[in-house]
Amino acid sequence: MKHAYRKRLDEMVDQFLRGARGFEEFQRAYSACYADENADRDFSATEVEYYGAIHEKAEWTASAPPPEERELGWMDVGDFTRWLRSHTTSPPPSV
Amino acid sequence: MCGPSQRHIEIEAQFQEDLTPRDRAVLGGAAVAAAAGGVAVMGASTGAAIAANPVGNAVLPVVAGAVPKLMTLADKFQARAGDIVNTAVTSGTRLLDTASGNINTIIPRLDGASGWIRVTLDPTMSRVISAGLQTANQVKNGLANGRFIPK
Repeated sequence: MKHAYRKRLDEMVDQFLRGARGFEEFQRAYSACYADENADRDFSATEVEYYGAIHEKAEWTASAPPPEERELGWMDVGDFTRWLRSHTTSPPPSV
Repeated sequence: MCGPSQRHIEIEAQFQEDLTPRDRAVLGGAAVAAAAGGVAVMGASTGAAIAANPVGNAVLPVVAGAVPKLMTLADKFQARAGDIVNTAVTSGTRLLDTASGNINTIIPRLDGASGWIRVTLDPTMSRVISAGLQTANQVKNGLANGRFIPK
């Protein structure tokens, strides 16, 4: 069950990075899967960190945050995409 | 590992104890509204209302980037964005995010599901800079690894 859940999250990320989903759609779907289903109760701490970071970064992403908001931690979709590509190069082991 | 930590339980218990009657009414009202379809609060989530007054009766200013996130939460829980902000700011559990220096104020999800609504304040706690959801395990992990410090 956990593996299927991880696979769903990974597929959403892959679809976004391939351009098959826009950011808004990706965030809505990922958030619904990650935060609403709360299936991370079966996740290891490392998995919670990994998948939770994606959820959190997406929540701090806007289309064109002004410099003042960037200083507060906001990023644009391009920055998020680059961060996500880097983040997904080292997924946690599935235990 | 998978259940809530004692510390997490204590924080949740403290949160419940700290709620004022008004806060309980707000939270209870939101829950009732959600159960009933939330007709009474839909007006506060319209684009016109957002443009005129981003989060209605919020006690703190809200940066522009946080407004659509708050409105998403308001629509999701059929509550007013201003009430979410005010409940979190006045009664939420405050956690210093050591990664950013910001303050996360968290309240239980209004739909009764596991997890938290997060309203983030800048380090001076003078404005709302972000909002969203956190799972119980995100908070639990953050407390365990020292990223979050109760404030």
